[in-house]
Amino acid sequence: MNIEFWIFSDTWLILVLSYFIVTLSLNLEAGYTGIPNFGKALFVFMGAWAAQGIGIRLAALFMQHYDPKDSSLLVERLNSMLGQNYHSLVEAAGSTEANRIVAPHIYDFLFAHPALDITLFIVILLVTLGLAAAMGLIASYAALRLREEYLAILLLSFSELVVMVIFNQTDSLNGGPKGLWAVEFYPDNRLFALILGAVISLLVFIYAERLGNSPMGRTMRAVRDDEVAAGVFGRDVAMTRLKVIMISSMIAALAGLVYIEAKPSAQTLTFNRVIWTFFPWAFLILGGMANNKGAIVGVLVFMVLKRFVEFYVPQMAAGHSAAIQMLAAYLSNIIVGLLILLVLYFRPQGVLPEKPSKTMDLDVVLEETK
Amino acid sequence: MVKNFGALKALDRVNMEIPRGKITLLIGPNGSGKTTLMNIISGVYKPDAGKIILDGEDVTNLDTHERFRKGLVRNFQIPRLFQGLITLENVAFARYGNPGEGVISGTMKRRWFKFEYETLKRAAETITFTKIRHLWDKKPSELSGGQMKLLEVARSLMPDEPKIVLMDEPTSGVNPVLAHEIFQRIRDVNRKRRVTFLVVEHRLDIAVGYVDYAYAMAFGKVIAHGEPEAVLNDPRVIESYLGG
Ligand SMILES: Nc1ncnc2c1ncn2[C@@H]1O[C@H](COP(=O)(O)OP(=O)(O)OP(=O)(O)O)[C@@H](O)[C@H]1O
Ligand SMILES: [Mg+2]
Repeated sequence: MNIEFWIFSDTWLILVLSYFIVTLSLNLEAGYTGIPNFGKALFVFMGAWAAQGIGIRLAALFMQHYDPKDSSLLVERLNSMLGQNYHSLVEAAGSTEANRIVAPHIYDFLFAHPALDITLFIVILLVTLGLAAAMGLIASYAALRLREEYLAILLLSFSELVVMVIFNQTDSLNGGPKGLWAVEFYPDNRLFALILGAVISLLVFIYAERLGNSPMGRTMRAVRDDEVAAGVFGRDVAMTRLKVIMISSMIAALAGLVYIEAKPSAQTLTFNRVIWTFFPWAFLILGGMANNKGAIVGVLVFMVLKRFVEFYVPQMAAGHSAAIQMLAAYLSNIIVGLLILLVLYFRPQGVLPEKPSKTMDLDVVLEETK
Repeated sequence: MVKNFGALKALDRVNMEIPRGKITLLIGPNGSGKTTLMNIISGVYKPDAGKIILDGEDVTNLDTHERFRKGLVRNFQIPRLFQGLITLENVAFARYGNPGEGVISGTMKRRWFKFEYETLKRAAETITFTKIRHLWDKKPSELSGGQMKLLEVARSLMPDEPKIVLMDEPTSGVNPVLAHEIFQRIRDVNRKRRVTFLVVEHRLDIAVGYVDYAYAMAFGKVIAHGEPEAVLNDPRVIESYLGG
């Protein structure tokens, strides 16, 4: 599929949807609960890994099990072609050399077996959530013990360590820097990603709005504002943080799953701190912390503006000196930075400021107790 | 009870028994350790030595939230309000036990609607009593010092079934008429719901008419205790105030 309207494409749209999901998740942590999660990229990456390194192997396992003849034939052909000695399709699917060759065959197998395809999708979804929850547990171990500033730095370095060092340097996990091709579930993978992204964003938005306007939303904001006072009024601050980190981590990983389905051949470094941590923070600060609509507005304003800059500025710079072209290439980042500074200066609460948790019509309840 | 801040002996072997079901007044000059004691009893600070026994149970090693759940409620002398929450929310939050306080249960409105409705109604009544109802949708930063204090008092009147409430200067900065009303309310809650109170108060003229018992502290020590009138007229107490 190839959607194009004006200067916006389907890949842009899927990125925006992924950003909705991550930014809403960050809002639950940072906006509502005051947890400075600067390691979002890691949690997003868990969704990608579930479909890449883990997903493609699982898919190969399915194929090996349900179509052993074709599978061994494929491995044999591969071995003679590459001069390798793969023992199984799973091994081939997980190796950097053979992954790109066998992946399309595995896709075709899945497309031809819809029941297996759907089962695998559900398994990958669960793996995504499970990996994210496990990482969330590790992160909350730190979150319950460290002061805000230290926690921010720790999560940032933890994310860098896991994605940039461990995953990027170890071929066996996710194919090293190049990344393994992710499993695809539908022949038109971008259409699939678009629908998945739209459904998940919508569900996450509804969830975040409900939670934000529930007694839990009020408690999260109270924990953020004064953890001592929250504890004195009976709230288990550590437990509240833990729950929020767990659920937010799982949501963030779904964004990674959506994104990797649109770009199954994405490299490991695609999941870097700038794109998946700093940008969501920028969206949130711009749109308004502790306001879910603000998070959406932040993503939209930012991404539309960025698209304009990236589309028109290089055209204007064409034919000029190398220095100007270089500047044009980086202009979107510069503008993004400037925008944040301006917002922080003139409207520190963001475009849409925080609102009370609307558990019910507060003014109506107040009227009743005249 | 012992608590040191560096070389400062904020609490120097303080031993206190707060009579159950009574209102106990705690007085003492500035810096004598009254607030420190409240921080220790509520678990905000850990003592260097000593034990806190609540209703026969040793709670010294419990966290603040666990002590609250055992029925220990307190307010703060210097208001510690939730800056992002409006007045009504600040007060509503002080009631614990809402079934909707979970990342899943929060989304199931049917489960918490009733509790929440009762909570908000009670919060509305409480701020009506403390005369800040008209400020219900304001954030703490929009309130005056006295109004913050009234909000702080309103919060400590919200919890269900407390065993003991620690009040640190509930009427400072409050006009005398309302100060009397607050003490009247403390008295009502005490008499009707058998709640024990420990009240720190500098406005002795107002407080003395409502309390059953009194302790006086100076320099981190208990210097007198007994009938309120007797404690107030104790020469050591008078001297500590004049000297401080
Ligand atoms: N966190 C702290 N760190 C260091 N010193 C402290 C701390 N808290 C209190 N102190 C000191 O302990 C002593 C007792 O203070 P505390 O606040 O308990 O007095 P107080 O009796 O409540 O006085 P006031 O009537 O002014 O409220 C004071 O000298 C104070 O400066
Ligand atoms: Mg004090």
